[in-house]
Amino acid sequence: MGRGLKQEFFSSRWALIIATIGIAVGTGNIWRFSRIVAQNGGGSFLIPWVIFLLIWSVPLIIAEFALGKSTRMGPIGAISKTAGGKYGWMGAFIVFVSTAIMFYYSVVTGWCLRYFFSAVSGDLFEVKDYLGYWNQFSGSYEPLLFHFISISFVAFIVLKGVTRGIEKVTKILVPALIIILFILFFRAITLPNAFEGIKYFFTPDINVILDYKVWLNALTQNAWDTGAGWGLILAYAVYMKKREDISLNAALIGFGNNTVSLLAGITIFSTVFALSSVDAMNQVTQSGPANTGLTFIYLPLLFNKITGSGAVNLFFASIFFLGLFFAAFTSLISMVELSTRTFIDFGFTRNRSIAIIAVFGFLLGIPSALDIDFLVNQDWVWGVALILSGAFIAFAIWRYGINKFRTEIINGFGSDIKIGKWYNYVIGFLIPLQVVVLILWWLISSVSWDTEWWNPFHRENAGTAILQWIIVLAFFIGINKYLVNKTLKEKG
Amino acid sequence: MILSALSVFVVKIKMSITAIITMIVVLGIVWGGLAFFILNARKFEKLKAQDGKE
Repeated sequence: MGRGLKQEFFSSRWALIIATIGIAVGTGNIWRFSRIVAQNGGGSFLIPWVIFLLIWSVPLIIAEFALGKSTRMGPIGAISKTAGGKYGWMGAFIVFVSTAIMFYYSVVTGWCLRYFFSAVSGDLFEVKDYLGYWNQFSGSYEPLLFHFISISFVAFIVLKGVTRGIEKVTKILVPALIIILFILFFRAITLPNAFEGIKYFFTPDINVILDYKVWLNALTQNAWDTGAGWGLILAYAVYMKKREDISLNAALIGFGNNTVSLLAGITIFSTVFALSSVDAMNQVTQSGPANTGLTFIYLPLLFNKITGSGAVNLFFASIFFLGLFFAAFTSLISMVELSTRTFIDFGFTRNRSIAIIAVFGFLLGIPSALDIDFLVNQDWVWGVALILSGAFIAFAIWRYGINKFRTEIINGFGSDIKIGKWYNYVIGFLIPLQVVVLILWWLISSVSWDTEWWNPFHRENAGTAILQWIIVLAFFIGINKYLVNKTLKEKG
Repeated sequence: MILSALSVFVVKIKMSITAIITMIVVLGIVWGGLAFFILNARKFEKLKAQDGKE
């Protein structure tokens, strides 16, 4: 530990699991999952989505737990110790990607909070034009205020430390989120005509299931919504006790996350099919500005019709946006903790680290708060970069020796279940294959989306992403020696 | 009970057999998997607590 700080630990296995579920379950489970299922043929999408849970998410979550527990350091130190000092820049890239996401995710968290207040006050149900309402809100300075509130609250919690801050808050918010989702789930499936939504949700189309795009979307959805490969779980694993298991906990996180996605998906499909007077599928697949169409524009309209009683409708709308806020907030906590952990590894105190991150988090989130095009660009660039983060984690294990990593670390002290040799093939072959296919598909698709695909000043194309990645990678490769020396020296 | 639940899906909701199979497979793996891992984690926690006392 830098500066002789005392190592903190999560108080129990369940505290660790709840906090980590808080990382994995975010707004992506609720609004992105439903949209992607609808765009990819309902049941046809669910089969590859479950397969990628097993061959992408769970193996990478296991890797992150093992790296954090064994090295007791954030991604830079963990990668340097396992892959070698030459590769510390990979850890820095992982941290940067999650931190860049944190800047605009704080803005998104603020949107959820603002809509919760609108629902509670009843303002949301006085609206006639929901698109206009959204445009008016997102075009004002209000998102800036709510971004400030979000990042300040999160900084305050992380400042309190792991047990008194993160653990205490997630122990309340995560179960509350699950209860809210169950209330909404039971209400949704008991609406008249709700089963039409469930029918669509689970009906596969054999022609669609053979489309490679469905498989690639299933992989990206798993990569984004489980938090595998982001470095966030690694940061929490630093605080797991030595006697804690890795594999079973990792499986619980992956399956728990996808359980929440299914709950949210069934809820949204049932609600839309039951209450929509127009083509329901068009509504679910509408992206809207920054993919917000379904959540901030269409669902408020539906909540208005959920029962005949205005007070009951207000209750359901309020708890929906509260749940959404909790989901975003607990994920944001982990993003701030990851950056904090990195600064602590550099020798900074927790207080000073958080002060730096809160100030920069607020300042660098301002462009996203004020300009939705900027937010969309950042979501595009760093969302895809998560695939590289996952690849870097797999590379570190490959450098260390996959079999050695599996037998000595994953199956080492504290393990409840032993992971077999299949893990070697997944990390050594399947994960790299998935990364190569995904990046190639993404590059090829980008060319067809934008004829000027090379132009870095476009909002969503290959050029803008590649240029920003190159700048960040070149910077970290340039200062690699300094980063690694500083991190490992502080650790002693 | 399982058969009567299935008959509701087939007769009342007119869900196709492929949709029912997809639903059972997906929910079975994800929700069933979660339940299985939770039960195992509880079992191992109890064992670890007993070892600690001894």
